[in-house]
Amino acid sequence: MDAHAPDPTGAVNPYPSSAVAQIADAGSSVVTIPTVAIQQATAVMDDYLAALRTAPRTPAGRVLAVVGEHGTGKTHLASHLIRHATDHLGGDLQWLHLNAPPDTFVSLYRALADKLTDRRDVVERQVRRLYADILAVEVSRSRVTAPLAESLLDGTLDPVAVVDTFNMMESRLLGQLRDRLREVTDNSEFARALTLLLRGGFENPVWDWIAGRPPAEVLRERGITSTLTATETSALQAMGVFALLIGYGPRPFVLVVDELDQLLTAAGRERDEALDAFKELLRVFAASNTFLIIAGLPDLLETLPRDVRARTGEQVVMTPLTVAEARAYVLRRQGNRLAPFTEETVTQVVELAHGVPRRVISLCHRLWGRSRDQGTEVTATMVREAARDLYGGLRGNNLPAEIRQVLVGSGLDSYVPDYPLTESPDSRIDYWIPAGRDDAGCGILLVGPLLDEGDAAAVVTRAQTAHAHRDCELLLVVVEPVPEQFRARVREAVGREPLVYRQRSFADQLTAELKAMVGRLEERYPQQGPLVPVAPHLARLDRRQSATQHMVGLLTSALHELRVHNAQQFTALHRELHGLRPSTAGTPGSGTGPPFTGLPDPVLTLLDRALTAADLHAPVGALLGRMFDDDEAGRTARQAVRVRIRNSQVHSAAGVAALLTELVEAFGRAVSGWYDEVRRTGRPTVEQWERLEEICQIFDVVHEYLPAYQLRTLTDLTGGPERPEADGALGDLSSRVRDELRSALAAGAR
Amino acid sequence: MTGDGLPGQPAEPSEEHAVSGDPSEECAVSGDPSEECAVSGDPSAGTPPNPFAVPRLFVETDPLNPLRHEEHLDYYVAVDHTEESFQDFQKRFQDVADLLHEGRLVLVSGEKGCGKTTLINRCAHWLRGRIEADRQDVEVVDLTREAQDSDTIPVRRSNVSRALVDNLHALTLLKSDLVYETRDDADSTYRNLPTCLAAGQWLIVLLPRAELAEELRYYAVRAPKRMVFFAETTPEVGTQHAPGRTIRLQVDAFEHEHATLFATDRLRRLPTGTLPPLAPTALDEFLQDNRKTTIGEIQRLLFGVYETLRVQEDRPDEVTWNHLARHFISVSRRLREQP
Repeated sequence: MDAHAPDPTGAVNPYPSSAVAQIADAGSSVVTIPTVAIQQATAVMDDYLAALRTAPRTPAGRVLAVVGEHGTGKTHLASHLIRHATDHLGGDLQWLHLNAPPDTFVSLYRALADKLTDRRDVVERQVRRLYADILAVEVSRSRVTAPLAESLLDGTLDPVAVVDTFNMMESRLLGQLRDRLREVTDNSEFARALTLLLRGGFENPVWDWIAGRPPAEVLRERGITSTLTATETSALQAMGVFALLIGYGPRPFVLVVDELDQLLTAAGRERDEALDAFKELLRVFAASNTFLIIAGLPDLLETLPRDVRARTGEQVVMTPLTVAEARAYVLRRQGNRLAPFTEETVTQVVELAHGVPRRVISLCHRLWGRSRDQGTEVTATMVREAARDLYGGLRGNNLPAEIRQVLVGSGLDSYVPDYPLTESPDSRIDYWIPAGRDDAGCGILLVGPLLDEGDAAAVVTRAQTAHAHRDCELLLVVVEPVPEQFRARVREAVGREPLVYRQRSFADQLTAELKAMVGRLEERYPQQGPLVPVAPHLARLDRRQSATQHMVGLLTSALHELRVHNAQQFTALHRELHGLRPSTAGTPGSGTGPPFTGLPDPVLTLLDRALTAADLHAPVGALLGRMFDDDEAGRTARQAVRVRIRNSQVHSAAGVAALLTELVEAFGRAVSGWYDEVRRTGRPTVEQWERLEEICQIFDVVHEYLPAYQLRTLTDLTGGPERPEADGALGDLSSRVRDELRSALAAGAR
Repeated sequence: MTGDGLPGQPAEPSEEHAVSGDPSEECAVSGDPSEECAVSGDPSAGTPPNPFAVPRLFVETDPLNPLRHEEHLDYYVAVDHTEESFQDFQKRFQDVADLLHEGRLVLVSGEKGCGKTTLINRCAHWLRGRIEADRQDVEVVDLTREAQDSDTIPVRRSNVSRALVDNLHALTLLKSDLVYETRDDADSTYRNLPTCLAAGQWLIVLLPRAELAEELRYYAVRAPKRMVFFAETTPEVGTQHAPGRTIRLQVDAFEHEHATLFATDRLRRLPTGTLPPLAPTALDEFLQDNRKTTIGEIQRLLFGVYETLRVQEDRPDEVTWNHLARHFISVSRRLREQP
């Protein structure tokens, strides 16, 4: 969270460039504002630490549920609690942090086991501590050996070494350890396995078993027969064992399970069995000495049945930052100075960020930098611009691809992208799915964050236009939650609640919404029955009513728009246009920045088309990137990659794509250099025309050698959007470039 | 646990009998905290010997082994029930005729340090003499180090089978190559071994320590004729193991009277006044609260205490509980300082 970026002027931006908390965040640079949630959670932690201190043998376990939207500081809160406890204990805190996978509790257990395998010492130290306790009692029975007890209890004397060195009764003592482990963990197999950790040669089979693999023969021979990851129940029991084991004794143990909601909402699980086991896990944690923090979106608690929710103990809801809290944060970050912010701009930041701490921090980081660059205070305009830059579009996410995948996956592959219902730009539907009859259908409207009145009005207009011209069911997909003040108006215009994009659950939610929308249309257009003949009339009546409402809406909107600043409208329009522009050479996909500047626009267009046709690196990279996503899109990507990536044609196509891209870029640079020189000298000389001819010939000769048709193999792999055919875009590129240059130079001469 | 052997006498190993497969004599490092004092007697320097060192063993606190050193027979002390167990064993093998038809497993169970190995060595030594008395050839094969605790039963079984056949092959006791060729297959080894040995050849096999009843049952069932397996195990498994043809012997921890008996036996081997005696109450203090101990624990403790005393010029009049406590403190300090 504290990646401070040096400013070009040398000053260090006091705001972290990445406002994503890491659980290991530590150090004096972390700033925590004592919000209500922070205070509430800290009090629970203090209570836990006090209980452990006063009665270490009495279970002091706590379960703390932290819920809040993305960026509201859940991980930061967990991190704060760990720091707080660590400071309180002089560093003597054991803690682990897990990110719950969007899968089952088995996967969650595997995540825990992986962490424990990396930190075997946490478990082994605890087993040794229990053994030392037993041995300390044994040696205390005689005043000859009693002096050893203290060193055993404080961990400076290894009990295994003591037993071995003094030739003590190892079998009996290990038997006592096994019994104690059984008492502590309430699990006889774990008791046996953990006891074996103290004997040479068993570490690897025991740790393999803990990691979830079936027990090795050498363990089965000793009565350890179950596989911990066989069921969700067994995995949860195993988690409980570690809570009891690591939390045993006076040394506190904090376990953070982040993003638990995505596990609980994962599809395809045996919910009842898993939830019963989860309830039991919460009971075990509460009865241990462990402090369990479960964090997630607000769905986390809603997903849990009432009886399970009752076991989650304390619940902390992350609330948006107030202006006062944000102001306090700014002052803390800036050495008690508010400048370059003002009271007004801080208020504006909080409003535009909806009080979400992550957004507040990101905006502050950006605004501080701009203010320093421009040598001015942060102004209202700067805040608005920064907000637009940060949240202003749909660029950079997979949303369109995911929508297409859901549409195809739902059998709605007759959808039409960018479908205009009329000639008006307001009537554009991002995805139109014909359904029912009489041109009826379902529409998906896709918009960026609704930052101001103008954004909200635009959405309302689009929805009303659609309803006025077609009998349709609309769905508004937004990348950010719709601000409270616009929510009712938008919902009324669209006809349903907007769907907020959340990567892991979006596909499931969109599928459900589409099913409901299509279902409602089909109800209105029954395939048979007495309503069939009148259905179109009913639809027309409905539409007419909608059109009337639309007219009223337009008038209202027009009056309202008069109150909205012209600049804002222009910005919104500009953003829309920018979003509609196809990617060009020099956009992040090409990776090299604008390679050829100053060329006439028609030439640039030709080169852009050629690069888009040849550059399959970006879509392949995106596909491979998506492959690692833990969601439906990720699974689809993995399938696509698995099926096709081993094909040798794909390998050679990748090589051809890379060479073609390099060739086009090299050609473009050569042409650009030629054009620069020509412009400097005025009119091109004969030699310069010959030089252009030569450049074009070199391109043609090399292009001839490259089998561009192979690119289709890569296009198949990515399954991406329609792209210009490489043959068409590259086939006569040089001659078209030459012709456009001639035209441009001739026009310039006139 | 002792007789009248003289600690510190010149180290002339007795050559009466060799035990195949026993590498213990070559063992160089003891693992004993007092290893810096591994040589106990140094008469030339006037340092008295350590009365608790077992003579002729490189690791002087290792178990007695009359199979290699006949004189160790004199060091057996009748602590706990070891004497009764030995007598029971003698009684059971007074007549070995039954072994001509089927072999036996002798299973000794008990805590670590209770004297299982020492008892097995004594029994095997006696049995060897008993068989030789019938003018039969007998070989003792020590396989106690041929398996790891963390190996699976099949692997351990296979290792033992291979090591046994390799030993017999090296001793040229095999009449045919049948078992040698299939020596990894334990079933085959024990089925065919009698036919591959001379008619009058007997075997006493010392097995690795086993902690699983299933493994021990195998040897109880598979022991071929003219062969006796000796195995040691934990008290827990000793009670689990089904009785039958198996001869079960038990050793246990004991109270302070037995500890005193042992200490007295060792100390009386030195001329009076050579080293301070043990105060009558010293071991009582060590074993307060009805705490039990083992012969191994007592031997390791007293060996360590006297190892320090014997090199001191200024020795106390007697060794009290305080000296024992100081020994624990000094060794544990060294343990703490170890990385």
